[in-house]
Amino acid sequence: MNSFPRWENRFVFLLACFFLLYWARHLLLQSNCLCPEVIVRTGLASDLWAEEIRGRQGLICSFWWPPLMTLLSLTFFALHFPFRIFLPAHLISVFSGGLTAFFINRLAQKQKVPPFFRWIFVSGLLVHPWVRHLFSTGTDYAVFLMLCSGTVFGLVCWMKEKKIRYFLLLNIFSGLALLCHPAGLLLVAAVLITVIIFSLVKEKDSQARQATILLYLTPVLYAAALWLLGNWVIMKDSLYFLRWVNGKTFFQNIFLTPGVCSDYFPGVTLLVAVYLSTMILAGWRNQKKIFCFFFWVIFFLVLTSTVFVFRHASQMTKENQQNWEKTFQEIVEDINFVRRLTPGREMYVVEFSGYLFRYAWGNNPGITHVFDLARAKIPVSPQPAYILIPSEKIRTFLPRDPFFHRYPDLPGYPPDFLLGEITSGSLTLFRLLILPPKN
Amino acid sequence: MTPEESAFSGITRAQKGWCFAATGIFVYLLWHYPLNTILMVNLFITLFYLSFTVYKVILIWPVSSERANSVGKKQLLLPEKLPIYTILVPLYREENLVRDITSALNNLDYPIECLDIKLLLEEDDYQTVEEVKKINPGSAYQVIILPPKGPRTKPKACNEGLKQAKGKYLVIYDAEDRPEPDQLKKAVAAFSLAPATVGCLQAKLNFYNSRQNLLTAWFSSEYSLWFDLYLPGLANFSAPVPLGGTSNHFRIQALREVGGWDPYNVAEDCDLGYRLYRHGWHTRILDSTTWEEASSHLSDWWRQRSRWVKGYLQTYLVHLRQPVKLLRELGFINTCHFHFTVGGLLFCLLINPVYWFLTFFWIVTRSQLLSYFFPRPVFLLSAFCLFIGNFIFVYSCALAVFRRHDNHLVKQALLIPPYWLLMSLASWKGYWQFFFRPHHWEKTRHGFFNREAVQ
Repeated sequence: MNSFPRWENRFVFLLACFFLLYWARHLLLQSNCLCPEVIVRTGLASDLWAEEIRGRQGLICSFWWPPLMTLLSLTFFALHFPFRIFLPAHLISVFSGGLTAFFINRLAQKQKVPPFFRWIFVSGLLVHPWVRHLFSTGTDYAVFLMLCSGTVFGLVCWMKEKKIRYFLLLNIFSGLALLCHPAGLLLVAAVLITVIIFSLVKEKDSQARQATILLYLTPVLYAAALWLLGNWVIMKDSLYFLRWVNGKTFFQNIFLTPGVCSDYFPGVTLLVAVYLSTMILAGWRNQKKIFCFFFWVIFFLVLTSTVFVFRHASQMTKENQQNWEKTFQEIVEDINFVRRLTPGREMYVVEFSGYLFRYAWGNNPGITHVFDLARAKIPVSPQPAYILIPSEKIRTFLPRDPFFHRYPDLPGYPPDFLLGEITSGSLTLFRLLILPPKN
Repeated sequence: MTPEESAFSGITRAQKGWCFAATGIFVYLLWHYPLNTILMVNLFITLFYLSFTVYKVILIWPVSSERANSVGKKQLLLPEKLPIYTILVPLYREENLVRDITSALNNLDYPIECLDIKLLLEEDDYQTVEEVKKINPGSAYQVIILPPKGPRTKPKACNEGLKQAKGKYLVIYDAEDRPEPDQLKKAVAAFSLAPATVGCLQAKLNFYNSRQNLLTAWFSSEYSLWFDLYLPGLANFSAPVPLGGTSNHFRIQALREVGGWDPYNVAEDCDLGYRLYRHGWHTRILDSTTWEEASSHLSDWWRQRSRWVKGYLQTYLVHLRQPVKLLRELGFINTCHFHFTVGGLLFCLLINPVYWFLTFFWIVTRSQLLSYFFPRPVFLLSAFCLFIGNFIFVYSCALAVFRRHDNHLVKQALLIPPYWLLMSLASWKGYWQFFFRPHHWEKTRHGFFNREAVQ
């Protein structure tokens, strides 16, 4: 008899979705600016559709995120649904949150953890402010964490039961995780080591060992190859992200730099990772005692961090929102200021920060062109004020860009360029306003 | 069997009329709106690829994830008295394999007195006849000599065997087959457990010489995917199953009711699978393997594959002679299964080289012309089919051999795309032959495997 009914997992999934949906709604209605990272990522989708700045999809390694977003956005666009740009992103996150809860609960079921403990843990995880915020905000972090949970779920179940379906889940989710976020490299490395060790211990036939490892690596390597191929097709350079303005610290930025939403990312990743690692340990030895011990340790950590961090996290979120609103306002003011100085002139915004101020320039219809200078080799000191760039040198600053021929000729001398830096929270942004010369 | 069910008459007048009308409309549109017409055709093909990919995933997922099993997997509940089992073995110019097949049949774990084995020989095939006489296989064997007239095909020989069959059940084996010893018992047990409407059990086919060369390894991977994942997937949905060439176990009543095999169809097995379903008989997959010899020479493989494609085309057109009747007999869902399994496969083989060429052409030239035919949505869908769809098919092949514990084939299975190219090229020959030599049976030669290695 199945002592763990399937309805329980579905119930957990639906409960998590409803809970996160409530917070997503709250975030959507909270501010016009929304979370800036949502804007960036929805921007990615729109850019991809409009064939603008397509390289950004490779920049953050969210290879399949933009097409998915675009398709959903189009659906909502057709329905004339309010918040149609941002809603798909939030819904994907909420769905991912629900699936994460599902995987965690299902894994606990497989480990024969008593219902009381697993319910407490799933509930504790979901109400944690970091987790809650991450899974109700429209970024690909939520999807990534869902894929991590699914991967570990597949791994543990495969190790316990040796069923092909879990092996498939493990392989496919690992590949997708790698396509979703560079941190997927860490996940793949950890899982690969586990698979190798497990195969060495359990498989006596060397061909079976090789086949297992090969079948695991194939989707992962294929995913990596797709990403590199995508970069090559779009940017003519598979490894261009390493030659980006922040290229030297690309991986440090990805894993360590605190952002806005990504403030929560390392914390949540750590929580989920520790929990899932415990599951692996318990699954390996099939010992409930190990799980129960680690369960209480983690539960204590979650509880204390929730109590201590909640206030700080809420405050930080609020400050970040305010900073971003202020930033957008400053940009709008800057543009209006320059426009007043030079009435009737066409205006370009060149942006190379990695963050596109869609909100800002979307409210200034006079701006007709947006340039991607993300890879520009402009020597910027750590904290510059406004600086001027001679127009005749603008092309030398621009990197090799496959879409360069599509850009209109940049204006000539005298220099009407403004490069600005705005610091918002822990994030530094640059912008460049270019004005064509007077006739 | 009625003339409408036979491939003897080839394409009917009505079908020719439809073909000419469709071609005429296409040429007219191409003449007047060339770019838009090509764009629409491209969109249609892309949507077809997408749906074909999704369809195959839906079919094979429950099987690959072990949610659906073939019959005969677990228990072997046999009736007290085993019924007479007829075994048909058509032989033609296979004197070198007579000893192998009789040995394999003698190894079957089934009471010899309950076996009715018929060796079907052609009168003018003196060597094989002589070899059979020399071996003198035993009392369970009956040799039937067929006169050299009419179509010289395997189904014709099988029909002669069916006329004289004494068993309750019947199975066909080829000369190079080596069925698992308990296959007949498994089939009897499965028939006794299955509903009375199950008229056929298809055993899984695979190759004993998969290690011989790259071609046999690829062929083996393809068979693992087809017989271990795809056909069980179809059976899992209670859909009609295109039978494999051998190891089809029939209730003889079902076989006689549908009129046996079509002697003019060169893929009579595929045709019979659908004809059985149209007459109300279902097919299930038997969890037992018959080991065969894969064509190890490209020329043999080429002939065999082109014959299969030609036969599939014959089958497709025969069953589409009365599409409304087909829809009524199969139902909407099963008609879709039929179109995807037979028509979809044929269309894929036909069109694949064109799209591979377009991809290659774009990589080399980066022609802007192609960008017109691939606007953004079509491009995204095409890219999905190219990168994800093809990967799914490759990975399914590798997974199929992995499930079978043929771990040595995983590497070759992951490199299978060149094999698809060979399949497409062979299929073009099949299409050509359909028009000019529709009933010609290209005999596959066997007996080229390394016996010591296989042992």
